[in-house]
Amino acid sequence: MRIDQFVSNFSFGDAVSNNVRYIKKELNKRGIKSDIFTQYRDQYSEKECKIYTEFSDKNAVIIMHSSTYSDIHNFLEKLNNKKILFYHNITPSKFFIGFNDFFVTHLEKARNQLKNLYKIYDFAVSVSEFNIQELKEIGFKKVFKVPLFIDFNKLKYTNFDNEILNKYNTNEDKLFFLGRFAPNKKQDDIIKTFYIYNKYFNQNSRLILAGDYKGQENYYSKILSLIKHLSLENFVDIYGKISNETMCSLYKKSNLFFSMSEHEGFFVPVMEAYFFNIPVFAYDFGAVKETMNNGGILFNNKDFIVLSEEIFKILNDKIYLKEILNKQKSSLSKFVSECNDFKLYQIILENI
Amino acid sequence: MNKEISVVEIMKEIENNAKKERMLNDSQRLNNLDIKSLKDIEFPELNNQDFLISSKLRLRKVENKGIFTRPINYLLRKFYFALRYLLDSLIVSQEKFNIFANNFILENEKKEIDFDYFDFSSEFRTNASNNLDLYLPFFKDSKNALDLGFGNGEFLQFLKKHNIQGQGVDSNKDFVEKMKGLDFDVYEADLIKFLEDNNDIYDGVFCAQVAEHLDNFNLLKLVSLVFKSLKENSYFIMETINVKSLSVFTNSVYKDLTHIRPIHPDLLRYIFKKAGFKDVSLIFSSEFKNEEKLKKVEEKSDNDKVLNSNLDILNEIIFAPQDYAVVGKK
Amino acid sequence: MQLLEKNKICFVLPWFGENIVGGAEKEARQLIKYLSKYFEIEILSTTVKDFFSDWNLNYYKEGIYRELGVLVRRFDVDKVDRTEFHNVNRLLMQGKNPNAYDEKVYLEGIINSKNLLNFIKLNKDNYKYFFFMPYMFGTTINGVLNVLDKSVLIPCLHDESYAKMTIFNDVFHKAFRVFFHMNSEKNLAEKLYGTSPSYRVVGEGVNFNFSGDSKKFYEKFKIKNFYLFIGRKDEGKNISLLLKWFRLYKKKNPSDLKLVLIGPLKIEGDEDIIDLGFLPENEKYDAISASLGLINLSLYESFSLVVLESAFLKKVVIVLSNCETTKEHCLNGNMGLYVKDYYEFSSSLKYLEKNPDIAKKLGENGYNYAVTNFSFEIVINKILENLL
Repeated sequence: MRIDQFVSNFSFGDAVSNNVRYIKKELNKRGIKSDIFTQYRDQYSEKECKIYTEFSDKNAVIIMHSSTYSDIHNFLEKLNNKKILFYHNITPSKFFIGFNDFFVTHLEKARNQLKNLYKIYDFAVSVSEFNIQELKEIGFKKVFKVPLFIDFNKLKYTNFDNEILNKYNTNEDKLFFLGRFAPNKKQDDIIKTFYIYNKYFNQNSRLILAGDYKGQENYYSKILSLIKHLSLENFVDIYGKISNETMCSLYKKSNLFFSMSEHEGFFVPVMEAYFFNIPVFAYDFGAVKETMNNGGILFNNKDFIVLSEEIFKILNDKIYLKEILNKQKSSLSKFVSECNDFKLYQIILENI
Repeated sequence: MNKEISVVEIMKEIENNAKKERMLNDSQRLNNLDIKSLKDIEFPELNNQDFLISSKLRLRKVENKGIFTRPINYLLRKFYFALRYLLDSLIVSQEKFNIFANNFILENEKKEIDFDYFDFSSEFRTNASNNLDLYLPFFKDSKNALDLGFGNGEFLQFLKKHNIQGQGVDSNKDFVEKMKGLDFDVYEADLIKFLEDNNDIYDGVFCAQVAEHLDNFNLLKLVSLVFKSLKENSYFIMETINVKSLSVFTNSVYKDLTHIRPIHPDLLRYIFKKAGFKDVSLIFSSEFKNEEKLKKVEEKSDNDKVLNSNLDILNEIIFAPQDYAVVGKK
Repeated sequence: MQLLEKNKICFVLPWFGENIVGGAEKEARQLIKYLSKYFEIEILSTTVKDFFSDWNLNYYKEGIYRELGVLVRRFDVDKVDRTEFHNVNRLLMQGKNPNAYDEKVYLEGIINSKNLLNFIKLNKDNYKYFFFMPYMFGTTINGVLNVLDKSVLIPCLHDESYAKMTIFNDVFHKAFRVFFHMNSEKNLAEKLYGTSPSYRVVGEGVNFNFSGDSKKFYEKFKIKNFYLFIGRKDEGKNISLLLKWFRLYKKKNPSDLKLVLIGPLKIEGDEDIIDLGFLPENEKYDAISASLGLINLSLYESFSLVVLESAFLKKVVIVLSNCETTKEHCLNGNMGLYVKDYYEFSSSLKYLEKNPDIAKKLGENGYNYAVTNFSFEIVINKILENLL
């Protein structure tokens, strides 16, 4: 049996591509031939994949990873193979209005395309109940949940970035958020909350924001402008796309992972923060709550003062913090054990 | 004991309260601050990354060191960004135009005719459904039903009689006004558009005497849209004229200008199945009374028996029930 | 306190008269009145009428006069072309830091009398002490530098551009004694000119012989539930800041609280801010008694008589924490609140509204502080002690 994977963009370092790589590895382990077909790839990934138009096996089972608009759906529609949709959530276009018109149209197109996918694919899988619900609403009758693959070994066995470790070897309260600079990630709300926290609760604090801004230069520029407007240049550190070493070092040195993101299909950083044993304080939307799985602290109301009070409590009440970290540890181990059985394969076997 | 008041202590309390008020003020100010209104920071630094105009076309910047390298790279970056911006804007315009053109074509395909349907339906028998009781079992548990193309509103009245909450959509203004006047929850809209734009989920959809008014494209689209808008384990009933009864060809099929073509029950059942409905079944209704059919003879001879069986066959073809409904379950 | 032998002392003032308006002028008259118990006092002054009049005009004829029970010697004022002086002075008034040229022009144009100086030089031995006030006039500057070991300087020093002129380094250091009203004034002198053992803080005498009738005020003006401002309604007293803060406070906290203004220069009032203009002293005291308290947000005060008058009438005060003088009163007397921004201002008003008994107690503290430190008896005693 062959199970081939399709993905619109295949590159080095992004969560969807890593998931694709993981699935291929696990399939190969079980003696199943599997190739990766893509439409756009970067220079680092050229050897690992082929262009989708080269695909020709009539009997292969196809998994298509979808997180954006893709011509590949149209290509697959014409094939008679058994097809599975692996849905990685499409950000709603409304966030980008006023920031990036191209993206708004692009995401609308993606959503429109999504509406018809239930006709093309035999069933769908995804990594969170939140995503599953979306799939059901657009017409999929058969949907399954599979755990998202996260390579914890990369976190465990990495070398640290000594410059970062030294730089943040301070007694400052360090708040950290890792995520692309994009309007749905709401780095602007994070900065606003931090302004209140820094000015009224603890001046000895620092905000670290790391993430790629490519494609969202407009939003990124507004973020820089906001920092300047609030005179927070000396308290906010910005990093662009960072290496694994830098990322792990930042997690290690931070005191709190703080998110105000308004749309997440899974939210990998929660698991990474759990792994590095820092408390997670996140806005309850999308899949955030289910990923956090009882660990960390969720909030529903973006009241900057109330949030700052809670952050202050988390960072100063040792007993409270210990409770949070313990719950996080158990959520993490639950996730890791789920992660380890390759559920997707079973689902495929049972449903094809 | 008269404790001496200390201005220093009082000022501490005042400073604390002032701090709270300042903090509240700041918080409100931040809440009202829309980052879109802020001035852009000078052209963001693009670091050392290769700049992609599209992922298919990758242009490398000049690597060699030399006194012209930096200015050239700077100019190249500016050029790439400007070019990308230009291309992106072109793409956006193209997309917008495509959407516009699509809509324009769709609009113009639909040619309007000047036909007062409301008036027509009051002149002629409008195939009013006397068969509604047959459909009650499928709606009795509904809390939020939908009547697509409610016309004179018989089904809506029927729902009301049985205390079932329902909405109605019809594209004819006069029908809508009439039912609005009777305090029903109705909307004037094109049925397809209503289903596309509306995000509501219904637990029972009824659509009578509509299918014969829709062209193929819209018929298929309607069925599939209804499927999406249905709650699980609820029903869609589509009633239309029964082509297996020849009588309808002398009567209903050609009497209405807005009929496009009738649908064979097997075909409609197939369409339902393809749209995803389960337990698809047929219900026939509007049967002829015996006195309206061909009358059988008194069987006195073998010829009479043959005659009567022929008459049965003829009755089945000519005077079969005039309507049928397909029932599908999600 | 043993009586000193009745030596002769003289007060050197640029102008003198019973009705001259001005803090330093009024203070001088009071000091003269009380010190005449211990000394025979003469006044040395110029023929100029007062600060506002033409300094080139001999309003008085040069000669000897007897006014307010003392001998007054008036000397012809030096007539000088003051065009350039006025140009420079205008900039100095706006806060420009004086450079060498400014200082030169200023010293050439500031009111001066050669005749007066000659008299001092010739008759120095006849007097025990020469009192000079205030610091910035030619009579003081040249006078001090001529009698050095007999000069007593009462500078009425403010943190303003004139004080930054280099000439005052000499003046303040070479004087025999420099008497300050407040510690904050002394601190300012030390900051500008360095410390000196001749610096003494003696306070300023206030005539606590007045009272206020709140009922009378209400009968005449029909205003109650208000805070009071008394003074010139210009930027020197930070009037626009007060109006801005009060209006903002009313916007966020609607109530029937009002602000009443008393003093020269009229401003646009509204339903919450009432300008009563200039009122006679007794009505001023009635207003203080009828008020909830006094608000004084001026940044530059060397003594702030109005704050002490309010304190004497047992009313709480609200001042700016950046003004060392008024803050010093509040702290030393435990009698008022000192605010640094709008939020502390708003918080203070709310606090006083919520705690009227504490406001009353602060007022009482103010009374004790005022009479214990600033009655003339106390101040004169301090002066006499420090002359030894």
